[in-house]
Amino acid sequence: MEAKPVIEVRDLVKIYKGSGEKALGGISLFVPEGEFLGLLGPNSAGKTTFTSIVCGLISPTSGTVKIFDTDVTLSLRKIKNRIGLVPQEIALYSGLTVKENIYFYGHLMGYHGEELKRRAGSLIEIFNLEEHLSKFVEHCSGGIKRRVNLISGIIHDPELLILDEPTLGVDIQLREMIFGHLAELNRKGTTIIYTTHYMKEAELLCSRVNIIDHGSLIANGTPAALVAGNEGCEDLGEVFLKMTGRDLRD
Amino acid sequence: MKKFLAILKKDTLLLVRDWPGLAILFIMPAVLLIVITFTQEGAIPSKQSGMKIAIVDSDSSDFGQTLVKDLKSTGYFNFITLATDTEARESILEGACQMAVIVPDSATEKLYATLNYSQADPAGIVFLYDPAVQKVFKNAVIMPLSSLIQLAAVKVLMIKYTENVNSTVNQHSSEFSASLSGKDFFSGVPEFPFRSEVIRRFREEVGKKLDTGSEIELPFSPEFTEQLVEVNEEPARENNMEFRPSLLQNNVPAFTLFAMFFIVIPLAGSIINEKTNGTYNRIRTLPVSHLEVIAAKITMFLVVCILQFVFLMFIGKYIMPLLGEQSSLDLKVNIFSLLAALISSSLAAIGFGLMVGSFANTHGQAATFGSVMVVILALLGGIFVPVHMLPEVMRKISSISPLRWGTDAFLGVFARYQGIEAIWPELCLLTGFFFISILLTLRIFKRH
Repeated sequence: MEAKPVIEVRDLVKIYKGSGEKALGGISLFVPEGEFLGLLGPNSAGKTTFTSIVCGLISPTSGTVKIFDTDVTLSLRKIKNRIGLVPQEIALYSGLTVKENIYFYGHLMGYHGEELKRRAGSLIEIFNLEEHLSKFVEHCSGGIKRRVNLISGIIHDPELLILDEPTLGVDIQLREMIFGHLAELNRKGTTIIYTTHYMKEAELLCSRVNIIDHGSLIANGTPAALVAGNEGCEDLGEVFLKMTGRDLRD
Repeated sequence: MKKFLAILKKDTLLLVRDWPGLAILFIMPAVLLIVITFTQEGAIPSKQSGMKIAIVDSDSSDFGQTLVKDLKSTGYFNFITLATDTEARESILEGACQMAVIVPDSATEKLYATLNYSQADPAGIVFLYDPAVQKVFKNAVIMPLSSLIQLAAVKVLMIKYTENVNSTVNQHSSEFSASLSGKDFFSGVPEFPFRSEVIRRFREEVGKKLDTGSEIELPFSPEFTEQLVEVNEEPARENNMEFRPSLLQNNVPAFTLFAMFFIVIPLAGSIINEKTNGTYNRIRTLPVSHLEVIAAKITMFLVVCILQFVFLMFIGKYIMPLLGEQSSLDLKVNIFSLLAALISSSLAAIGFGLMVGSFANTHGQAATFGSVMVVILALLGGIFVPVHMLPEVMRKISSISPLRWGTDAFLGVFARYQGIEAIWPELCLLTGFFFISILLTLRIFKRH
């Protein structure tokens, strides 16, 4: 039996105002429930545009995006509490403490009182933040900020989690911790879209990988299948370079 | 509601931890209020040409007519003629003019009485003024006006005096001529060269001046002329409330308003922070509406505006007298109109801040544009220089400044002791500005 689709994208086109170029040139993809999808691509390939449309931050020029069978361009609000976003930038309030930031996002997801305390407490413990709760975010290290950024996006146990380079600039220890938790979430049924430039991460974590370049989907398959399907490539990194070329991007 | 409270708590924490931002909101206006109030106490305006003064001639006789003609011929003030003192009072309260010179119906009669009886009551001219006009400007107008009034009185008296003399001379001229007939009137005057010519010229000049009655210069002493007309100052007001004119009654609400509009810096700053650090986009992916986000900011900054108001009222009431100000802020005002003016002005200021925050993309843009606009709107709004002192073009432009509406509303409350019924147009404009700002802000947010 085929898994229910969490994301269905058909002929998605995005042309930014003032730019004649297509940031997305008609992408179609299907993400079933429980998948850990890696979204790979060089700089300015269209990954952020894609995730921004999926999250409802920008509108597509044409095409449809359905999440949980709901057209995001029409009524995203009712499914927002089922989606979690961990943006690439540290989207936290630097004037608030670690605890205040986590609780703030928890409140906005609709959790209060003991329930919020329980959820926040659990994640704070998992990510080892107990000692840093009263620190202002502006005084925290990059690693702590990354952890708080991640917790703020998953405090509501989203059914769909979109992560945009969550391990950017973090050390190997924290990377391992984040991988472990994401794998755990995926095992519990969370569908994950994971954007990264680290091919090893995608190979390790993702059940399927999509490679986007110049606004088009140029590869789709499991990491193993993609490596096997490209003669002379020994890992996903080589597949990626083979498909996207070695020229520098913007 | 809980989400709204969470956003409100977040915004409040961020603001109270922003000490430079708080200094802009509280310390800067307090310093401005103190410094400007003390410097204005001794300042003399250099030009009054924009001020409108009404003239009411209830006398309709020699003095009234002469005074109206002479005042209008000065070309210094902008005079308008009104029929009754009630009309003048209303015009002042509506802002159509700032002052009025009222010549009572018995003015000429009383003036002429001084010719016959030196201890007669002087003619009383009422100088009606807008309580909202700052004391220094009022004094700068009343001094030259008093001199013009005294001069007009002297002129009228001279005419009357010469008419009386002429009449007396004419009445007795035949008898006088007969008695002088055949006699040399100047017989006692010693002979000197050109004697006959001097006598002829004397007779000609006296005769001519008695006819015109206006060119004889009588040696009135300044003490005497000041007794001719008494100028009584009186503030225009709607009821019999006790009135104590004070610079503080103008400056405290004016600078409170100025401070309120300076929330543009922290308010727009908080929006730009959220736009640039990604929190705004993150919030947009959460189940929270734009309205909830904006409502929290409105609520918090409304509280900030009220606190600013209370703080500056406290300074006006208790600190300024300690620093040497002779009066303290009089708070015996209409509490309903005060609250209405405070809330509507605060909302307009918040709307302005939200609009700037939504338009601007960087802190630099918001801080520069916001603060420069507040200063421009304040200048146009009569915060630093009364609106009636501005050139005609600027006065017209000032009518679109929310600070002008706020100033007018607050001056109505604090200087004229007016109720809501008198300041409702300003309240509507301020509230309307707020709603338009919110609609624009929401539209921009959604477009982003």
